[in-house]
Amino acid sequence: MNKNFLSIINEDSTFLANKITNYNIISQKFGIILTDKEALELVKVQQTSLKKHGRINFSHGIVHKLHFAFCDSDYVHSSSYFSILNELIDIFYYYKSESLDTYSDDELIELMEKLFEEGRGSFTYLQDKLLDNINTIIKKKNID
Amino acid sequence: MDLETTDHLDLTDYLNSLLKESIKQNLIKEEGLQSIYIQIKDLFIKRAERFTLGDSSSLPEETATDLLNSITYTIGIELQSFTNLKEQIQILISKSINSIFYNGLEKVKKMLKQAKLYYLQTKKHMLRIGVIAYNDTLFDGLEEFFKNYDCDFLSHHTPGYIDYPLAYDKMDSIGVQYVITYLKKIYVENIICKSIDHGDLIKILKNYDKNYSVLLFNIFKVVVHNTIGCIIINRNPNKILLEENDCKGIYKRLSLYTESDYINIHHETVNFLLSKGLNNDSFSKDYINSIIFDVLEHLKIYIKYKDNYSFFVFDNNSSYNKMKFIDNECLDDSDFRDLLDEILSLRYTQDKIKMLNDNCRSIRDLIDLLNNDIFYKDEYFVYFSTLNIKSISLLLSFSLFHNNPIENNFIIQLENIPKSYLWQYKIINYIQSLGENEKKLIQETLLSLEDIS
Repeated sequence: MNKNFLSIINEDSTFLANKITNYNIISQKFGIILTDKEALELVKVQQTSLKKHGRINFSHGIVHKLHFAFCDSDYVHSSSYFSILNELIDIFYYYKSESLDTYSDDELIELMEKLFEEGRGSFTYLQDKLLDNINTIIKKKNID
Repeated sequence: MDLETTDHLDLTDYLNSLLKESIKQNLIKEEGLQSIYIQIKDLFIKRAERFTLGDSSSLPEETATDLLNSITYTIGIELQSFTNLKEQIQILISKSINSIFYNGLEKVKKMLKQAKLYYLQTKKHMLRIGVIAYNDTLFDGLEEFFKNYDCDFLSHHTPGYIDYPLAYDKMDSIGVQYVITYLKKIYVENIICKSIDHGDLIKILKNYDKNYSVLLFNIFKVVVHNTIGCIIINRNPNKILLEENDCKGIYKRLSLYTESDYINIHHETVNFLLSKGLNNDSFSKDYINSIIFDVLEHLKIYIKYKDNYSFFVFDNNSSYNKMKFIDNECLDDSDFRDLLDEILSLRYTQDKIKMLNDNCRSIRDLIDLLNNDIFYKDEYFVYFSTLNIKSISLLLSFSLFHNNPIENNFIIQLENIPKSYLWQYKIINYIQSLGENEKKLIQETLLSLEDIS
């Protein structure tokens, strides 16, 4: 049952896409809107990223949270927003796993948001700083 | 397939095994199966949220798989409380998975408490034996299990290290269910092993392998092998030590054995072992029966290849722990005569002892001197008290036992041996005055001395 069973746990892409587009009410104030097609595409990206990083999603995922957190950033524009979220999804799951699930979803998104602003929208800066944070956490865990 | 029994179902994956069986037997319809899956999915989501304390929307695949396995294991535990297969399927269809799971969780918690009680009982009846795997498992290994077992989210795991093998273990269960079975089986093994004379048990293990303490083997199985050997040659199985000569007798009989003879040996061995302080409960009976069945099947293979020597453990005294004593050269007659005269001329006991120690280098000379009454009455006691256990044993061996086999109560044996000299009476009196430990050491030294020619 297990592997196949786990892979079907969250298959309802339309539900997840709706969850994302619901945040358009807020994001549109900042000139950002995700279409239904884009939202469905992001759900797919999330599924691919989960698979890539060996994770199982059992809830509503994180795309709607990323959408809410980054839509008001000074460093996103409507033209590049979809591809930025694409990147952020993969960065999220990579560092979620690398940090051995030390961060909760909300904590990690908050940290990503802060570093994204600090680095003026630079993914290199964001990833380098996330790595530093995670190394510190792991070192601390090993000492404890 | 018999719908009344559940014996054929896999205890390590009970729910899946039951569902597969019910599909095969057409006892569950597609809708019913789908409903079960959907309910398990919903339960998984709830449990995952609880596991992550609502902090996460995803889990590493490994953790998620463990969580799901724990859920299905716990459901399986609840279902197993209904013995009838049909009834179990009925419960699955008619009750909510949620309630089955939470009832199962309560059962798992009760089982953990039960396992702790079995653990205490097992520790109380532990063998005092230096087998590292046995002691490590029963102390640290199982304690680790109780420290780390997680009823809520990893109920199918068996943490700790249970390295010591059982005499018969199909390893067909996991989690707390396995630990309970393991402890019940170890208890049965311990009770029977404890009924054997401790000295005999140590001896048989030393003969099994001189490095037995570091080996990964089952103590009880060694005992069972020799019990069967004793029963085959109609020897009292309470004395499990077999002599090398017994091997021929065993082989001779076994080579003529028919299947019904094996069945008889099976029954006789089971009955004998069950009489060793066990309650005649069905668990002990089933366990002993499984062991004997397995052991006799192996014995048949050994006999087929004419190798019963390695199946049974023989008391291999000639090679094991034998002490070889090489006496020094005796004095020539004139020197011996001079020494004897010299000692007899001395007034004080201490001077005599010093003279003896300084000049007498051979046990045979010492016996000859003692035969010449070099001491008076209580002087013997003083002299014997200066000798170590090995010297006392050598004196007995050379002068009284003369290669006669040493019996269990060697002091009574000594009393009955005809004596010609005063010192021989005195040495027996001296030994009688010693403590039990010293007496035991003398007996062990006598047993370990190689035949003296």
